[in-house]
Amino acid sequence: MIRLLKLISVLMLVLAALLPLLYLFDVLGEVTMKWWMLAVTLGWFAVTPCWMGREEAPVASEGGHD
Amino acid sequence: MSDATSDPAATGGEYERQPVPERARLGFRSFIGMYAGEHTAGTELMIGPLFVLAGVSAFDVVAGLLIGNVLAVLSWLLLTAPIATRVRLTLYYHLERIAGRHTVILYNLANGIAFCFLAGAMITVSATALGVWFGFELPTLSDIAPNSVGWVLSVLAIGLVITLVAAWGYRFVSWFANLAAPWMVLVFIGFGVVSLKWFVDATGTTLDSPGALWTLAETAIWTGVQVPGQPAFTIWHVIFFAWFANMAMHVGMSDLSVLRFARKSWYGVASAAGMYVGHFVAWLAASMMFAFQMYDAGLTSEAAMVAAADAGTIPAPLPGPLADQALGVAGLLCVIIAGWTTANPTIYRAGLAFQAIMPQLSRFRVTIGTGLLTTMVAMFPGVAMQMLGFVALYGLLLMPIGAIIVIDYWLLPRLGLKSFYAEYAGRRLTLPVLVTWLVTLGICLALVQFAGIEIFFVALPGWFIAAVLYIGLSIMTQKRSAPARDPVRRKEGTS
Repeated sequence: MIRLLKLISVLMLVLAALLPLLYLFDVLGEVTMKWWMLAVTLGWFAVTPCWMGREEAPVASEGGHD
Repeated sequence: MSDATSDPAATGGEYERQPVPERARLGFRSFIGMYAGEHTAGTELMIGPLFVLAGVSAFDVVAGLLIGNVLAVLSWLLLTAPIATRVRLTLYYHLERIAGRHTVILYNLANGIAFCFLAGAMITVSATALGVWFGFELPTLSDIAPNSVGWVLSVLAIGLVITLVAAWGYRFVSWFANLAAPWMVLVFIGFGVVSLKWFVDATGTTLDSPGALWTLAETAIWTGVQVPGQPAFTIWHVIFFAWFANMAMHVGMSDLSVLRFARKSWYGVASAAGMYVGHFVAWLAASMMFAFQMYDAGLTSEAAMVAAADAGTIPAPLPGPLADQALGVAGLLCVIIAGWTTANPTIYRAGLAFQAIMPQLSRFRVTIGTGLLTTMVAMFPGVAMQMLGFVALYGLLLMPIGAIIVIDYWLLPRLGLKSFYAEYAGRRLTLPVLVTWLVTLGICLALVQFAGIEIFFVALPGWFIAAVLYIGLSIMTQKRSAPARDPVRRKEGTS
């Protein structure tokens, strides 16, 4: 199950990278691209928390960067 | 919260006053993710457009960012990481050992105030996204104070949420920031790709070769036409800005607190992930989005720019509307999340800095107070609109402390002097550090004010001024006080 969820997360990232490129090369229209980007965003935030642990990067708590 | 144990591992692995032990050290990948995430922040969406307003040309911005970011990575790699992985202490404790407790309090005050301004700019960025949804009047380029009730309420709402989360649920935000980082990086790249498409359509360019892309970049995107009243950027400005944008962290040594967890010194090279994702790709993408607004308004020549400036019709670099235009709701969410996830740790760290000054107050109360102060700052869009100058000033403010740490660690023992002198002599304040810090800042600001040197350039000579001052003052102080403190040496000296 976890592997499937990770696969979906990776797919969301691939799509997030691909959709603007498809728009650039006239494969997708602007409105369609924006809707798909929103769907990919929701997909990423729905699926990834199911497998991404909460103790991933302790150093990030040092913060303060711009 | 109630289980305030002395075990550092149980308190989040902070190791505030002891070297990070072997078992708590982290691998290279942790630093790659941390740097890439931390440096792809809401403020990148502000800095990119400001380059366009400063009239950078295509070659200057691309080559300048490539070179400046290399210099930044080298600063982390050669200055910060070697000391961090040898001493393995937080910056605060390291500085306390060199300069004494009272100097750290002053440092915390300076750092805390700077963090408030930085976090305020991040909240400003997020609030521009709410403006798209609720349709209130957003600030213009020339606005310093808030210009509408909607703007004030929007900043207040975002500021309060961020403050409460920083005070209560900081660890959740830290986790959420890691979760959002990969998606956010791709959305930033998406901003660039979509705006490239706008330029292709508007100019009728066919992207059939790298040469065609470069010609488009030179003639339409980064045209080198500066907006009157904005700083005029050459390649040197871009190089120094990129190098010193995070000066407080590398040359200023704030990241001792981060890199003390690194197993190896060379992990400092992981900062390249942050520099080339956040401070190259994200800055270029954000500047392309804004450049299209300028192109679309016909502002591609000096004459058109002067006329628009006189008429007050220069477009404002507002990340919310720009992101909405490029990627719709996903873009707006990116602006809000980018501002939120980076403002939160900044408010948290500012709270810690202020709490060190007022230890009798709880961290919760101090964080709430800090967040409210930050929210007040965020209401003034002038801070975000002057981001280039503010970032340079922030780095400059803390730079002398970094020079002191480097000299104290590497050079003083070779000169027969004591490192960590405050600890050795039991001092709460050491004059060499305090005088070096204040005099260096005074000289640098005088160079800006009276010698006409721009603020982006003074930090480099300032580092050497601080180094020379600290060496000289340490020799004077330590040679003078050594006989008095050491009775054996005093006897030898008088016999």
